[in-house]
Amino acid sequence: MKPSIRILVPALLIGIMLAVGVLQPVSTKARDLQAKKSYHAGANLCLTGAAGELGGHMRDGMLLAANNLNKASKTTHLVVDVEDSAANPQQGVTVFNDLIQNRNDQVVFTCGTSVIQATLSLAERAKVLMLNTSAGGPDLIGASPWLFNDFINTRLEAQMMANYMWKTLKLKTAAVDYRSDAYGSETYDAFKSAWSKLGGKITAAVSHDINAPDQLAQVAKIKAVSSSTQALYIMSAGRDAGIFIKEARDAGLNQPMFGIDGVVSQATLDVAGSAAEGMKYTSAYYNLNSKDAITKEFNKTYRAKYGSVAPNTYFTSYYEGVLIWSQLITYLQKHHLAYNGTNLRLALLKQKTFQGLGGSKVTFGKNGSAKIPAALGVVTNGAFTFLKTIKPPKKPKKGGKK
Amino acid sequence: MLELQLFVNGLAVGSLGAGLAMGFTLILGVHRFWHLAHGAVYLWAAYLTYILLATLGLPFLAVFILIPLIAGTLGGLLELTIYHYLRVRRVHPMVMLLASMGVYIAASNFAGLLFGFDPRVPVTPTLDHAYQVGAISFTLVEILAVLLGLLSFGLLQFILGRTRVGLEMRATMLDEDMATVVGAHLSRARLLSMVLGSALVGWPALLQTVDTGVQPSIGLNAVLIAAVAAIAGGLGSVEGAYLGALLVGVAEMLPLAVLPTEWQSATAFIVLIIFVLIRPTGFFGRTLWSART
Repeated sequence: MKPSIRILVPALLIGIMLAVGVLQPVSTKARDLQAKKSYHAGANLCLTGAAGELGGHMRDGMLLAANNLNKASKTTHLVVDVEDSAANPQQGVTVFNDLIQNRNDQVVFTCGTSVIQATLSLAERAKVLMLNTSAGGPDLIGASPWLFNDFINTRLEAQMMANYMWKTLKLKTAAVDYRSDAYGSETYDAFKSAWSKLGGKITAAVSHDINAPDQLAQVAKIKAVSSSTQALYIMSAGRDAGIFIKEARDAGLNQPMFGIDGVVSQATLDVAGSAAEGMKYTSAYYNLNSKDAITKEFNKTYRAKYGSVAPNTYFTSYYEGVLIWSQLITYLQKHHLAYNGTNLRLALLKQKTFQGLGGSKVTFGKNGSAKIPAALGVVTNGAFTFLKTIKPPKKPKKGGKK
Repeated sequence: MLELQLFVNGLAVGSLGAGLAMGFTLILGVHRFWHLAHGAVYLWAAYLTYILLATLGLPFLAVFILIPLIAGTLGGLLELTIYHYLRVRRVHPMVMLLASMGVYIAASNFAGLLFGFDPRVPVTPTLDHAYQVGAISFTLVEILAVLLGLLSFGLLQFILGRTRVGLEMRATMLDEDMATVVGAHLSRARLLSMVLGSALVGWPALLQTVDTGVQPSIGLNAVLIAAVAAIAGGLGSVEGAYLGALLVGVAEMLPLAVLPTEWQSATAFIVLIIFVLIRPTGFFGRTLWSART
């Protein structure tokens, strides 16, 4: 035997053995996947930046839902392409283009009112469905025929809270601290309108930048009108909200505090500490005590992966978003329609009602927004405690400044 | 009363930034490039504060002593590795600036990967006190910020004015070549200025962490404020950086007595522009840069 053959034959054998060993599990998995058809969705999430603390919950909610649905289905394999907008409209546009052009995603899950507003025209041009399961900016209602909102809108929250403060708590004056972006300022506009219609007075309205290191000036301005202020309403989120709460209490502002869904974040509680006790808030509501199969599966897999820590609202809202997406795919399969943005939108408009998380039905209205229940809660013993559900007003109106 | 409250708040915020600004200007003066990684040292000092207090459970006093030493060590390591490596290759100061920016970005991204983007706040009940004097309110953290700002200023003045290494640093700040001629040890001056300048961010990082927590984005704002204060104070002047930081702090707050809060970020820069137009070299600026270029 020639020396070259003596080397070549064992090398070939080893190569075959390695290839078989390495490729075996892959090929088994590939066979499974071959039997299933893959469907991709883009996720333009705020994994870093100002709202980075929330993006991880959104991504994890989507991935858990996709995983659960993939396990249950023999025909469909859901793939979520996650990218980071950093809650920055400019970066959001870049990411959106990458998702629809390079990854060919036909549906994009989004995050952040400003990012959504920046990418709406792109979605319209490319005929890509946008599913919003987190942003609550008032102007998102009816903003585009390609945008569908399955999250509580802060306009509704502001209206509900105005009613609650005026009618139930008999408060007449309030000071507002809002974040200086679309989310905060449009919510402030909505509250101002609802509150003044009821006869309430806003004693001070102060704004802060996202990720401001402190809010001492904002607190000082409210403190200057403290004697005529009965309530503090926070239209901010996460750490920013926590800083305001802490500094307001430190400055001796002891009025009852209220917040929108953004304050329902561990970051708010971590920063504010005991100062957040008693704060009431509105947020989206998912009844995780429901006994339906979807919620049971959610609870089982969530607890197996994350233990006893309660899921963040955004975790659940994005989980529900994937549930809706999977039902849209089922609709397309049933009607033998191609998987593209136009058909996904058509499917959503036709089906209208979807099975959501917590045993609820998600029904999209003509304005592209689902009417979902809101919860009134309170911070007690360092945790968000559910008080009751509040029905949203029957006809949410589009408006507010752009 | 609103004006007085805003002035007090401004002094506290300015004092917190003073350590950063003095460190930044010291490094800028000796090294002659914009050390943007100063923000990374600040960020990591804050995360290490969190680890020492919350994870390891060390008492506050121990962390108070340890954290400037740790921050100084971080700065020293940067000098001994990246900056020294680049300097022996005689790179342009712009390359140093880019390297520094790279360090900042990498350090903040790494912090995000390691700790996530949720704020980390250690529970420190000993510092959780607020006081009310008449209509003016302030917290223990704000009092400490003012006192530690003054202490840092005093210590730095002492080291620069009364020690041999301080003399070497000052000489290097004025003129590197002449400093070498008169026997200053350049490498030592560079290393010690980086260690000392970085150590100065330790206490501000500690106070920020116990007050409102740390998350990966805090370094950028910190280094920005430090740079603005250094310009207002006069590049290379430690006294100027201290006063510049106070000016920036008060300028951010006081105009809000009459202006809406939307103007907060802009006011400090507007005041800076006006100030620099009136006094281009800042409070105590020398012709440091024109002498070198």
